[in-house]
Amino acid sequence: MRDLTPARSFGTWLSFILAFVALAAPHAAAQPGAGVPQVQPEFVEQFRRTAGDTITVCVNSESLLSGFEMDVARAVGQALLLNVEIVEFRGVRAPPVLDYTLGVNQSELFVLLNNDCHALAGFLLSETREVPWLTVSRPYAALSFAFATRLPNVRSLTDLPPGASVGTRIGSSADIAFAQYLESLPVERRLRRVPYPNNRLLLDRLESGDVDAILIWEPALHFGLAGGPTDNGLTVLDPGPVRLPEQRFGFALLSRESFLRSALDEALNLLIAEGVIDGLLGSHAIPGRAAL
Amino acid sequence: MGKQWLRFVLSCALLTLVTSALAQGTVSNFQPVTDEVLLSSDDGDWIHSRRTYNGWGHSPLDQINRENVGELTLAWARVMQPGSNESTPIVYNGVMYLGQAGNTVQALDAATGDLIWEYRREIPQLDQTTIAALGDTMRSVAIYEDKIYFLSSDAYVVALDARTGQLVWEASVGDPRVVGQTAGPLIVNGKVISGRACDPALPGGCYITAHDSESGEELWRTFLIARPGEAGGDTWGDLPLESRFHVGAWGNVGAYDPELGLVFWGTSVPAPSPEVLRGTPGDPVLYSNSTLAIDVDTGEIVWYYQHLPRDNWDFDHPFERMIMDIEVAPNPDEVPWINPNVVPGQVYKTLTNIPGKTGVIYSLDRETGEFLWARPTVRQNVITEIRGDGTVVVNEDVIPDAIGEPYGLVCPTALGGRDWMAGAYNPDTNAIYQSLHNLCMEPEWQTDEWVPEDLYGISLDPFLAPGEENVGTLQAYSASTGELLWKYEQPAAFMPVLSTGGGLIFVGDVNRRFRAFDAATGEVLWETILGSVVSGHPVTYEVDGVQYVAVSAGGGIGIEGTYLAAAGLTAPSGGNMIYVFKLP
Repeated sequence: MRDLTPARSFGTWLSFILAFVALAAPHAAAQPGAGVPQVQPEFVEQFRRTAGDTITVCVNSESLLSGFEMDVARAVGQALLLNVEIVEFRGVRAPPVLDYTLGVNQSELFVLLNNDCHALAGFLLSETREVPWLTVSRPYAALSFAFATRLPNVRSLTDLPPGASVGTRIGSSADIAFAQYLESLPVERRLRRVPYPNNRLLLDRLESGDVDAILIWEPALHFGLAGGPTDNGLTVLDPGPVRLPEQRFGFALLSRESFLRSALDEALNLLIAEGVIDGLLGSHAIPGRAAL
Repeated sequence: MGKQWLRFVLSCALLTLVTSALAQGTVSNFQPVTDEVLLSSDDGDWIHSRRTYNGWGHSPLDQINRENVGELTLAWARVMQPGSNESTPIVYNGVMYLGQAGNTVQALDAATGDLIWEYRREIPQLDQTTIAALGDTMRSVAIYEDKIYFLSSDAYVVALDARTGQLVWEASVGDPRVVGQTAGPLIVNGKVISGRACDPALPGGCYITAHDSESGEELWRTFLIARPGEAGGDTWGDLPLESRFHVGAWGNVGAYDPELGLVFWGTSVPAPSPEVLRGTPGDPVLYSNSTLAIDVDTGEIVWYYQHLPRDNWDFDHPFERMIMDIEVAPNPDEVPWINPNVVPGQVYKTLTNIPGKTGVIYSLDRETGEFLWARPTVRQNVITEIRGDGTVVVNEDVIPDAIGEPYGLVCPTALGGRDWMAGAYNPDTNAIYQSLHNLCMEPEWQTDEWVPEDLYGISLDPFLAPGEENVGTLQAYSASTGELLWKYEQPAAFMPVLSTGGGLIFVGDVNRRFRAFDAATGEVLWETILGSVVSGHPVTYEVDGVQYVAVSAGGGIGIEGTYLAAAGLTAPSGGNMIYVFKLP
């Protein structure tokens, strides 16, 4: 397994260079999440990876969906008649608990795609990261959010009384959609949004009764509760007027890997059309669908 | 070839690391620093971060003065550790104790810069958040009895033997992955008092602690976010504690009033910045952006004053506080916000200076926290009014009503106004001196999804304030009347300030200039050009009858580049060095 924390071999040198450049670039260092430091283009080109008939795919071993991501990568390899080498890694920071964000910053992503793998699986496509060196494949999976409650006789979000508390994972795209929906209502008809820092807390606070309902990433609802929501006495609600966003996942690659990107897109088209992705989602008990 | 070169560089770095770690000596004739010394040190020493408990950043030394400052010459210089350099040397009895990046503290002969001992703390490989990683900055150390105290980047309060640099004790103050310590400690009555920053990944906010100076035992811990069910707890609406993030005390060391038994400490912002995302629309969110008067013995918050409720802009207020017993007579022609109960000309026990990024000067009664007067300095549009009772009214026009709604023009910026560069007070001129910045911003919402580790949820890129020509503005104000006495403006942003009894104000800038100004007029009396950004806190001291002025350069936490860019300048950072000047 690739652990980003201790420096190693070739990755060490690139990491050193990045660290050195970061220290020498105070403007970039001052901006939290400002992005990867500037690297001379010729340096990037100098270290073009070659691997014969093998493609290497990085998978964050701490990701909730890591098993599924590995199977998707292997299926892509089979479709392209290429060997697939899975490179498991841990980010400098662990991903948020029961979450879909990888917790990998741009510098780490840059190092991974230069040193360790041709593509990174499980990349959230909405995180556009407008940097010229990055491109993404077509999405292969689309996973959504859900409202859930323990309250009896509540089947839809609109059944909740005004003032009822709804826990959300602060800053998630669903949280923002929900907040925007609430802002569109008269004050006296609004539900009470209670933001929490992570999905585990959402489940715990629903269990303890601190909130009446939660808005949560659907896989977290299933993986965070042994047996899933139904076995735990939860009702997944009709979201009513709230348009819940889908999270679409694909592969991240360096921009120069345009040929590989096209090949991945073709393979994913095939796998989706033949129902392979849906099958993998099902075999991993992940609520969601192949991205169309 | 590239790899070979890198190996060579790495080998040199390792060699340097090993050799410097071996250099050790002993401070001879060391005299323990008593409580009395901390209260009233020798004029030739610089014993606290801001020299005295009142936080003035002023020395009465006057050997170097208006008449002869133009003759200043370099006495010695010495390379410092690489990394963020905002250091304040502590000087006691001819020895300089210099905290610096890399969790390194050195004892140097203050007349020559020769090394006496060095302590270099081994830090484990840490998965640190942005806030925690800033903890490599060591803005100051402290001295008491026979020990030197500092705050480490792996979230410890550390005590060293002042004679030898050997570790005496260390006390953990939190998870080093999410806690960042930059300000340094203040020693009061045998207690090591320290503040810090906590990443939003640590829900519930941050805290100020006091440790027993002898044993390292934690004596009290004061949380900086009001708890549900406690006083002020309802100022976060009904958010649970685990959803209240980030308020800390990261900036500069606080001030201490021995008569009142209170320390005065400033606090920082909540996160994320937009209150609609935070879930606290309209709520003041205590104790963010406040001055706290804390009982030294118990850690109890005796009173608080909130300078900026409802922060939506990362406008921290965690900087130094200044204690002054002065006549209070705010001039209504320049000071828009005055408590009608103030008796003009009456001497008050005040706290008076610029405590936060808005650049607004506040004068408070430090016995009660009662508001006396306030005035803006640089352009700001987040405060529309401060009422007579001290209530701060914020500008609703620069607070988004809905997630994603544009902010528009906001002044100043998350880099100030003012930032961590400490100001100074000169009792001879009764004036406060502060480095300020003419900057504004148009915050943009973060496009990627926000998670607590992402901090503020908005981008905060500054630019030159409309109508202004210079980023850097050094300003002097009467502490009694609030009147602007003088200002000196230039493209390059100014850095920390030193005041002296010689009628001088020393201050560097991001463009390598280090200057002495006439405290009374703002005239430049002396200038030299150093190797890089003059980011350190200048101090002055005396050894064997000779007055020295010391300042370090190299660049701080990285914001200098932003100041330079806003001014259209370029200048190097890095190459950390301390420079010490004296008369020929």
